[in-house]
Amino acid sequence: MRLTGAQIICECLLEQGVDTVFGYPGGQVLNIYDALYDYTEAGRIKHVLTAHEQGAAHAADGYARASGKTGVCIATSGPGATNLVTGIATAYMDSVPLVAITGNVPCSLLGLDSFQEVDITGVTIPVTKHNFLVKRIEDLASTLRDAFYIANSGRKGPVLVDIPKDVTAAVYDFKPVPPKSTEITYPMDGEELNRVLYLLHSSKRPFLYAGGGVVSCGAEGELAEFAERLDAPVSCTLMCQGGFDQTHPRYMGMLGMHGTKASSLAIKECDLFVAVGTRFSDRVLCNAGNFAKGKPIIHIDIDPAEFNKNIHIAAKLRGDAKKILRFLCEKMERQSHREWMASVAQWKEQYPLAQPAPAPGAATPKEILETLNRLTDSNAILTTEVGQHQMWAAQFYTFRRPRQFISSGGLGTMGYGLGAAMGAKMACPDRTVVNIAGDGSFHMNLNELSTAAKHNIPIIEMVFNNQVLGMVRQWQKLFYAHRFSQTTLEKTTDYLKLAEAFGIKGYRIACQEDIEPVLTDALRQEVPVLIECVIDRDMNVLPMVPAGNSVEEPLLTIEDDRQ
Amino acid sequence: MEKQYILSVLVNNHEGVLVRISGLLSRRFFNIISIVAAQTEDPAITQIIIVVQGNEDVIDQVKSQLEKLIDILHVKVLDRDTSVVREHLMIKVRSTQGQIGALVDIANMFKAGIMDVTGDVIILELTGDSHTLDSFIAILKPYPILKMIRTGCSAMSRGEEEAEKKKSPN
Repeated sequence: MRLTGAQIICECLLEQGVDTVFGYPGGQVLNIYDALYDYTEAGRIKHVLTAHEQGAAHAADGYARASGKTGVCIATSGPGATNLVTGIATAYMDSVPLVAITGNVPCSLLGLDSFQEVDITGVTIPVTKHNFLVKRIEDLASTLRDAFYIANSGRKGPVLVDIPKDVTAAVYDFKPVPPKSTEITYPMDGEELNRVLYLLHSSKRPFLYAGGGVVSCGAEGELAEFAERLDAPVSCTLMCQGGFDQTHPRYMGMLGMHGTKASSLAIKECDLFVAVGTRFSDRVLCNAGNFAKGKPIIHIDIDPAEFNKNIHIAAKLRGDAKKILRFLCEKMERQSHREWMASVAQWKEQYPLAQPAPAPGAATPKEILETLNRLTDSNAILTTEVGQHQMWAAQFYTFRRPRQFISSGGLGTMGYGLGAAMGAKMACPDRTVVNIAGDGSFHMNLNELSTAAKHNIPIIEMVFNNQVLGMVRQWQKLFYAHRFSQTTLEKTTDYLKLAEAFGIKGYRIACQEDIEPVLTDALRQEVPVLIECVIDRDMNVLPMVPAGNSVEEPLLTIEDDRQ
Repeated sequence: MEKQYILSVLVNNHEGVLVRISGLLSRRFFNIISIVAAQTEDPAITQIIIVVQGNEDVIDQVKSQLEKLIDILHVKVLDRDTSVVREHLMIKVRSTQGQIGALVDIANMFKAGIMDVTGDVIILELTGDSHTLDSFIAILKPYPILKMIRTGCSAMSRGEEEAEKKKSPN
């Protein structure tokens, strides 16, 4: 059939199984939005109009993380496109499959400083897996297909497709083509495999560490089985919360800057470190020089550029975590390390995560999150912003399934969570979706509350209001002699009035006894909800490994020195 | 420690490939000393020879990261000892009537070509390895040298080519 470029874009989206997009119109995408009109009116594609393009990018990202499908966002040229950049970079750092479609000025106007023109492909080169500028209508369909393939194959990531307006108006033949399979079989290196099996079989105190790659390829079942066969304790990165059932006795908590004491003892005492689908972020290594010092590290990952990047490894297996773990389960003899597992269990019991209340009757993040966990039966999807609340969310909610914890780990983008929560709710309408935010992060992208209200996306926005930029302030306490430079926010925002102004329901948790009744009522609502939680400003995220220290020696307390 | 490396990068002949490569190199603090982008026996594929200077602890990572880029098919770090490395030089000198003979002698000595004589300005051309070119330039310095264009290395490993074109998708 002969279609316009704009129609080809819509058809390609359908071809790829896309039924939801997030975006914001503008001059150079008028044709695209005109074509999209037929699809949205017919209910074939849902379009969520956000308040800002950044919200659209984060929503597409949250959608992708919650569903495992590709997130799609659309923006116009110039400022529309540049407004996507933070969201694209967020997806890039966390390997999230995203396709961002931007309009651009017609080809004849490119490079002439035209109105709303930006070299968005140039700008996004370092923060995309790949990007394209489609100059000819003949290339449009194949480029979009390539974009989806690249976003979803190997190590996933965002791809941007920039389309000048005249290409969206041009007409060309279109024939639907089933999407190419993104399954890739990587050859297994026999020598490395032997080395891996040898290390696994000869280890007496193995430590199993799982990262975002496990969630990305749906390997939670294989991870659980492998952990049983290896008889090892399991720790998960921030990106893998829920990749292993956290109620399971094997689970040790996170490892790294805000990891548990139990996992830091385990890495100290282990004799083998097995890392699956993780990139050894500096937040985990803390000090690369003495991370798992003297212990062999086995690294299983789909991206060979990660091998020996941040830390020296003893053996590596390149490929899909799901396939490799399944293969290892077949090849590896069942191990038994009863004494080791008993030690780990003992450490878990000896060093539980604690958070004392600053004053009697005060609401603590721990109690709020644990109550939320209980009331949602550990089955809600939590998105977060960035900061102390993000760490508390990871620590105090119990994640049992993958794709339950959606957080900007690599880039640490404040303002990510609200958009992401909307995307997650669009992907999983039957699940409770809660965004955990701090007052700082909340104020960055609160405009998206209008989107939640308008589209009736019933997310719960929980603002842990401690009046300060908590995480930065914690560092200022430890390293800058309590010089709280620009971290005392003390916003005069009236959150309940703000909720009302946006047309959503507002609640306030002012003290401990408010927690249960407010959460119970809020969880019943079928409209978007904002809950302000009053939190003491001097609560800390603990344990903490200060910069440069060894991951084996976390601080369990911080002297507050309130003079 | 900083060292010089010759990267032989096989790429799809698509727009923007060079930008991606140079961007990645500069992000990893590798200084680009020269780039030669050459056609190969396949018009859809370009061979880019890049001479870089950078930290020897990082070169393997740089190679892996380059190989991750979508349009890059293969990256080889060439060893000067097992490769043929050539550069091309064009050099413009001024010579008076009396000096012409000496210039021709120098050219013959190096097997350089005389490309143009316009008035008393002469353009010479030489292809060779880096040391030969260095010596040639040194000898011509007094003439004086009006302009010099030195392309940077093109290089090819000796012997059989390893199977280059297939790479596991990223």
